[in-house]
Amino acid sequence: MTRPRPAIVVAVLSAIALIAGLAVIVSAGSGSSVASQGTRPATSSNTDQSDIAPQTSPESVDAPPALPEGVRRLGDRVDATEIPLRDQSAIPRQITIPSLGVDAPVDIVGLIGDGKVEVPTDVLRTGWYQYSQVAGASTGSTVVVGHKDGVRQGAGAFYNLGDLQLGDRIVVTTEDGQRLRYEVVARESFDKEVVPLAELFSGAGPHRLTLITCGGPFDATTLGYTDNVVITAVAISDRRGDA
Amino acid sequence: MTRNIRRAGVIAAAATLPLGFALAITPASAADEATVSVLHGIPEGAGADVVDVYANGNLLIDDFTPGTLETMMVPAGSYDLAVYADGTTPDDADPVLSADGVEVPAGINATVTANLDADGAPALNVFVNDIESIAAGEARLTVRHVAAAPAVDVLADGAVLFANLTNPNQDLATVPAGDYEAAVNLAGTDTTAIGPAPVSLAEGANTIVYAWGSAEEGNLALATQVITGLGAGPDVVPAGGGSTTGTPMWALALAGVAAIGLVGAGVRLSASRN
Repeated sequence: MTRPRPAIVVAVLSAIALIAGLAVIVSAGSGSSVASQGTRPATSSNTDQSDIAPQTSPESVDAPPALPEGVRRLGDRVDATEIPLRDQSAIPRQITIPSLGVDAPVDIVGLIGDGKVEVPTDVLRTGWYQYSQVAGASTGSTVVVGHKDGVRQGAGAFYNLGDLQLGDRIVVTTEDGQRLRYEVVARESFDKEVVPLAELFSGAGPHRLTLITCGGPFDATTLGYTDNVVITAVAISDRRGDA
Repeated sequence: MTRNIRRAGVIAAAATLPLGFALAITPASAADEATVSVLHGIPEGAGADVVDVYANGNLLIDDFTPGTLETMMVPAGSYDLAVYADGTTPDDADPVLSADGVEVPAGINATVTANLDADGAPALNVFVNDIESIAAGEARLTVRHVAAAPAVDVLADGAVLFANLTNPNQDLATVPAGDYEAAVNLAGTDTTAIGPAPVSLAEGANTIVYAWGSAEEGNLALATQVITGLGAGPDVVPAGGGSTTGTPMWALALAGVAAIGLVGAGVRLSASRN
């Protein structure tokens, strides 16, 4: 007959099991790399006219008969008298992701120092990069960033971005109360050394919502996560009334 | 920084884009192509209300009207440009404007403008567009004087940004991206010729503002052309708070509290077994 183990050993073994279990749960959600899925809309890195709908083929329906050989039109004819003016009423103020249970405020953020994007220190708040497009713009990327988590604060609003699936909905509520719906078309994870920030932040190309947080393994030498997790979504309704 | 402008002029004259120009070849453009935009900057009532633009004898732009802009990719090379009044063609009429031998090097991004010169006569001008990379949070502003008007000052939010700009010249600067109130004053005076008008200068874009029209005819106005996709983007998005051990501290703290609870339970259990 076996002797019962000393109680303290049982307790310690249980505690270790619990911690290990929690670590597994935590790492499954945060530490491991997010599998990439889907495709971001192609951003034309060529210099095109920005204030018209993205061009998907060289010939628009309005093109006159045959251009000279080797010549192709970029976009439609533009009314140059329309002075570009940002629609302040379309600045994102709230972001809702039903499948993740996210409903977070969106602050306005800029850059701190040289080229470093400011991220709200309250991890439950997200930030709209003020130099990116407003919601519902005709072209370019609307960028919203948020901390994955904080040492003292725990999980952030964007903690589970890596769990988003293609087709999941995201709703952006704008300054004037309009609700714009987006649909996830890509979920990607990039090592920060190679994340294509110029493209993700570009004002060119089809309009898209770009959510950025951190992910991947935590790097103890830099005290930061190694990756950026990026969600790309495209608009699925007109900017009119409640979505 | 002011770039010299090669003026094509009304009479067919050789116009050359500076070949020494440092080309910033955008990845998507083919090795032997250039991006050329054409701005119809002649105001209504000046004899060019509807025109057709020909390049090397071939129709390029049909039914071109004042205040509109077309952009196209063209093979690098030499171009004879000609503007015909609506209803006329190279076969049956002379052009209202022309410029022969306009050299277009590969990789260039340029705008050809049909506009009034300082004295009010129609003219063709060729401007090179600056497509150098722009830092995060910044915008490029280019202003071009293509109006039948004297020298002007260009103001942003009430402060003079470019002084004493004359037709057919340009000036440009890198400024923080954002919304500005733009105005064009008669040079050295507080007399506003155009504006003030709000304008958004987008990050990573070259916003080109044209002062066009005729002071005499009272139709001076602003036109814009925006070249996007020049942004270098930010350097980093530091969006992870994290912990010092790989597993977030808050999760470890939770486990620690639970473990302490278990130790207590284990002791009690042991006691009850005996």
